[in-house]
Amino acid sequence: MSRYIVIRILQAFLALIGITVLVFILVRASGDPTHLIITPTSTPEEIANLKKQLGLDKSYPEQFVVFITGLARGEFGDSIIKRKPAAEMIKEALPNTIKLGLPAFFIAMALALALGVLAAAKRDSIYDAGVKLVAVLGQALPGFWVAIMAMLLFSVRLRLLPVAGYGTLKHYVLPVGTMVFFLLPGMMRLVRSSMLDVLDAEYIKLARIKGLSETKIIWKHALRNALIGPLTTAGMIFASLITGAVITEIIFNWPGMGRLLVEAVAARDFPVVQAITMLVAAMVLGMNIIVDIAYAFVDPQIRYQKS
Amino acid sequence: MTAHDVKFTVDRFASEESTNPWSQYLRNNLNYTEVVDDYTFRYHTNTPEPTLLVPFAWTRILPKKYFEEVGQEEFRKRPVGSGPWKFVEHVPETSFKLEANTEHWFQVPEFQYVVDLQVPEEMTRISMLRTGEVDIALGISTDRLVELRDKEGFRTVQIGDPIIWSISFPGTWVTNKPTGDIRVRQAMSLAINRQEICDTFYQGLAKPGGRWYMHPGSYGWDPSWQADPYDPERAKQLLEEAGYPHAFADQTIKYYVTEGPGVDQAQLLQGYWAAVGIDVQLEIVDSVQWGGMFFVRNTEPDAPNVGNIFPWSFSSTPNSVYHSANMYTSTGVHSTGNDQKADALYVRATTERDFEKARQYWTEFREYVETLYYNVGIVMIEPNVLISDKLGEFTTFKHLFLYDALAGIKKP
Repeated sequence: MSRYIVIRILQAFLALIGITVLVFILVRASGDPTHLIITPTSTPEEIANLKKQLGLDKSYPEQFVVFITGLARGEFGDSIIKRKPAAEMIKEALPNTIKLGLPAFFIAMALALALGVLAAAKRDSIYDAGVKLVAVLGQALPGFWVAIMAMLLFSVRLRLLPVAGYGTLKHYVLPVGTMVFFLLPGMMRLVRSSMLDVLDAEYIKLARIKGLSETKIIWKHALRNALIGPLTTAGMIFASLITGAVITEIIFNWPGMGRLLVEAVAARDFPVVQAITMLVAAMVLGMNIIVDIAYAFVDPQIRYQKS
Repeated sequence: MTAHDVKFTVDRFASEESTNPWSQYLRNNLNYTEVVDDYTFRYHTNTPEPTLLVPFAWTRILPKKYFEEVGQEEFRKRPVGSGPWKFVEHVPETSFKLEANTEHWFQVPEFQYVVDLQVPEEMTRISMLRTGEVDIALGISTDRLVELRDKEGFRTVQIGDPIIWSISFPGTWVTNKPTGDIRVRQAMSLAINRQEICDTFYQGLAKPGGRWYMHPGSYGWDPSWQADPYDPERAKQLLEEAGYPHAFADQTIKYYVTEGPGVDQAQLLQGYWAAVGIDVQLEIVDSVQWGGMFFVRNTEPDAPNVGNIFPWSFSSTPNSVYHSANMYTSTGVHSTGNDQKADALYVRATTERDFEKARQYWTEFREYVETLYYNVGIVMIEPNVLISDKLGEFTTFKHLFLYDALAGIKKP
């Protein structure tokens, strides 16, 4: 088991190096950020000076050496636009994203589990139809539209909640609610279909013949085996939450990582894009490892194979 | 504030380390600076350049003693200036909070605080105005602004100078495309019904005309100046004289625009041009690619900017001298022309030391370059913001910057 974990960590480290090189190349291939900074009064000499100040007059290999050297010291460089360390900008934005993402994630996962199990256990009932309707709506309605409609209804018309910003508990309701609305359907459908597969298995039939209660069969025997697929997806969703709340953050004016990334990409703010991408890559790789380990705990067969 | 603060600020602003676009102008012609006494600062140039008043107007004076005490990083976190507002708090990517400077020499704000929220989504800004979470909403599109004004009773106030929408023609003297012929460029201008654009697209919130960074009232503007009339018949005649399209080896004209409201503007012009027989292709490109074509000098005949059209919508200015160098002279980054007379007139207007003469020369320069059709003004758009009824009259500096204008708001 420990050998397996070490190998997975080494693989993740190699992947991170590959991502570092790829991100460095791709952000530079997307264009020269000085083209966005220069103004109608900038002369060719000034543009050259600007490139020099930003280190963009150097060749790509030279820039890569500067980037890697900084990285080795734990520095991502200064934002080209804001002229402050990219790491500091992430440090400011990340807590806001976590404050929004964590409640949304746990509420969505808890609801998905409860509703997915209910829909599977009561297949083809009115409950199942209701769950399917919510799933279809959540996956079909555009995110920005739902967010704006929620804002217009609960804030502008009913005056129950603030339009945007943060600070009080009320400020969390609309953005968290919007995120839950989008996280819920996919996970709910996954739990439902996994449960349906398991509930058809021979050992469940045997449990029923042996006279175990339906509650015990579902929550103790079926759910544990049905969770492997959803667990993987949950891990990926959790990692993607770092940058995945772009629409929510922009519409509800929440100063988080998603908004920071979109603005940095639009402005070709290389250091910020690189820092965020690497953070997300590290999180996704980390979550992969955690999910792999969690598999082993959930499913003894996997544990024995791996060891 | 003393002359020592001014010298400290100007020296810092003119240093090689400063990447502010105005710094180059303080740097280029600088011989040395000196403090004569506490209230007299002298900036010595190598050659006469009266227009340096413009970059000086962009130089905000910093407190030397405080800056040197705390250092640049700390100053950025807790800045001190000389305006009507004092810094209170900055929450990154979220807000600035300012407090009235009750000792300001000219304008003491009536409101104690102003909180500047950074709200990227237009619908959110409108909703916040509707619920009273904000009192001023900036950057509202024309359709919504008119609707909110006419149907919901919100007031509009103009802050800043008119936004000039114009189009430029890079590489006019090197291209074998139709825009290399001045008759085609003139025909393109005459084909545009500017009044119709103002009345329908801008719903009365724009006026025909405007010149590159100039509006009525700008330095050197002549009140007799008018935009080209809408004359499609004359446009067709000019095109015929130019032999359009067959006389041109390469007949392609591209209109490069970025995503956003500029696409609607482009489609309007495309329609007017099509009506007189000019075929223009719209190319929607990324803003970095667009900037690389419009703001980087390139006069190779096969360069992507050459022979094509570039729109620009931006606030006009009280003085357009430095902006004009890039648009009209033979070394400008916009690469429009190579006219020796324009260069000579520019130098004459910008080095004349007698103010009245300099202004007259500037008018003459701008009159001359207008005849070259390197850049064509379309309309001047009102810089409106929406305000709530919690605010009274805006009394001062409405034509300058937001914070200056905010200092002059009266209570209702």
